[in-house]
Amino acid sequence: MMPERTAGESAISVRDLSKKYRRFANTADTLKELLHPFGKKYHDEFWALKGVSFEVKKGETIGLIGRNGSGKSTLLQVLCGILQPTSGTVLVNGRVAALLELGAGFSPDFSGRENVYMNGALMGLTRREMDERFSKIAEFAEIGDFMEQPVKTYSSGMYVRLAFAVAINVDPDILIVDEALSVGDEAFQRKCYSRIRIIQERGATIIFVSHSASAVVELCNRAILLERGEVLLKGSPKKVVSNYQKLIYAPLEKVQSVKAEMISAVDSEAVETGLQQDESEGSYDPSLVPKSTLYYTPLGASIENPGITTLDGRDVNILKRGDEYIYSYDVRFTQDASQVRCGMMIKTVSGLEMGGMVSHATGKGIEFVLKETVKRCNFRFRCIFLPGVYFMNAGVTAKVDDAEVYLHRVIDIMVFRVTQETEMTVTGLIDISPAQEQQDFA
Amino acid sequence: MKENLLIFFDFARKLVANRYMIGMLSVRELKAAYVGSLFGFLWAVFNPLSQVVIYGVVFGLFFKSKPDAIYSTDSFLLFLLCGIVPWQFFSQALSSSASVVVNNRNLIKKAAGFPSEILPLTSVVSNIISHLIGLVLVLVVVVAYTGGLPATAPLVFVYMFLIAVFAVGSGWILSGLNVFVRDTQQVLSLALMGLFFFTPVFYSASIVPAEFQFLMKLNPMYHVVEGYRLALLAGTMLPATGFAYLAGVSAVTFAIGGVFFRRVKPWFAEVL
Repeated sequence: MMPERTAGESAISVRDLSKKYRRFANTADTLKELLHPFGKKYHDEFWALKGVSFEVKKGETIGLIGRNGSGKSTLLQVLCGILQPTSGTVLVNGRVAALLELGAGFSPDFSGRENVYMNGALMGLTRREMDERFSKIAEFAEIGDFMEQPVKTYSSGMYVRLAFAVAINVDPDILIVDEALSVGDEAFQRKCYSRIRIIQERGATIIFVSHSASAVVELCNRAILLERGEVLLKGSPKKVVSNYQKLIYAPLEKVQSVKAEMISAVDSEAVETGLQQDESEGSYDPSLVPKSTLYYTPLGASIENPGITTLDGRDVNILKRGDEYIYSYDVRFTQDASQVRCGMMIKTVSGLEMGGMVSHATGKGIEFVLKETVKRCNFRFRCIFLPGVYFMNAGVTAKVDDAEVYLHRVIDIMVFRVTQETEMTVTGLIDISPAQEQQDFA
Repeated sequence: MKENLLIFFDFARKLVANRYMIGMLSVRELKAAYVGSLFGFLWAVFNPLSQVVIYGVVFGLFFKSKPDAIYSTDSFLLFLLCGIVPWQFFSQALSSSASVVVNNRNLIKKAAGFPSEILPLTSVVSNIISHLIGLVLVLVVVVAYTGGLPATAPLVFVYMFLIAVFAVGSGWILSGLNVFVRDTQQVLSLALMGLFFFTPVFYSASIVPAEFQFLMKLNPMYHVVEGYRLALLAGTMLPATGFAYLAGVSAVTFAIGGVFFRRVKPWFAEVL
């Protein structure tokens, strides 16, 4: 069943692809330009893709990442033949199944069943071939009676489930998946990922767009980072994902230097290995700063100088799984306070609270702190988080009129990244394996 | 020219390859038009009937119009019915195919490899089905009135086919234009209204002054309406020149429309 993979045989070949959009202020301008006797231009130009080149070999899985508006969707639409390139060439070999954004080209008034058959027909399958697959598709989509209802009555989750079920069951040579999967619930996402693995094993080529760094690292052979319509970086998913995270958390004024660094790194493998060694010890990346920091109004104290250090005092924000670190910040008191307690919280990008600590138990806070005092709070923690980006909160409370209130609170005061690793044996968000010294397997 | 010819053949091949999808989409259009309404497919009968009543009252009763002797009937209603049914087919096929690409933007923007050229075709196919229902009404009325059908009656299928070919070609042009200039639909409805009055639907062609006869005969619908009446009522055929003109215009429109559509279609996803 498995098709032979000829080395070097390409499934997709993109050469110097550019895509220009014409933006008209209004429809009348479109007509004016069309009819203007001297060819006066009424539009301004917007380059969604600029000089994009890459090659995808048969059987490869490519992760396409980039910020919103970086040209990912345009690129996929060009690959599918829906949009025309302005210049450059695109060669696609084989039957393409595509899940573009939300939609997958369903006809809203058709029932799920009719859409399944129509999608099959679009991909060149006959009615009989679809009959054979229909029960598998229905089973995978899990939409029950809704199969006979018009697709416009579906929830977005049902829509995507059905679209994905069709796309993976028509045996595509090339599967193109836009961020669609993020709509499904977690159980369905897991099911999809395992199906993607099966398709990979069958030898299909997959282009996969995702904001989920872990999904890209797990599923892809290679990754491509798009930024403002250009390929900023291509290479191992790990390298590309960590650079992508660096890019999106970089403050505006540093974006350019981060990009320049990446471009120069493309040519020299040495930089990449250097980076990895650096990261293995835990390191500091000045461009990794939170952009979502939210300061509450200080009510008698303010939190300052946050930082994460190694046990020997080195500033870090790139952490290594399994190591211990110290998270600390200063509290400057502008008023006298009683029953003072400090706290911290580590959260995922989506805000899930992974773990927090307080300096003192409830009712056991520092009895009294004079105003004009500066106190440093230290929290020693073990980084048990799996590779990814995490945010930290800080807060200080005191008793005022018998009630505990926040003197100051900062959301997303720090961000840190846990380095990507190869050959990991743990999954999920936290590392539940026993500490190294206890691991007795030899 | 050779390039256009190649485009055209590739186009024709695609239509055949996608016949299954054409069928599905046509049925959907038909359903969209009738399912959910109280009378459903009966509208395919009510529609021409109500027009026959309106024009019949105004022109038959008030203006005392009489059909020309060459149609060998003295019933103005019968004469009207045989003209209104093909006219409605033509005008509905054109106006629904003009908007069909814009209405299916979801498929064009999201479905990889969707052959959008089949869309105007599906509009015409679904209108053919409505028209066949209307035609049954005509045949029933003709038989009830005259006690039989002339041997030339099957000719209407030839005329129907020709006008369908013409409608598909125009549909490609109109639906393609409509993507870029949405005013197409408005202009079309005006043009159709004008054309209706210049087609001998509620009057006999013979009342048109001789100096305008030539102009009237440039309108392909003149030959279709004339052909239907002659075939169903008089038992005669269109003159060979008229028939050749109708066939020629249809074929040329089909070819031009196909090439035009194929040339503008790559830009649909971007503009829609």
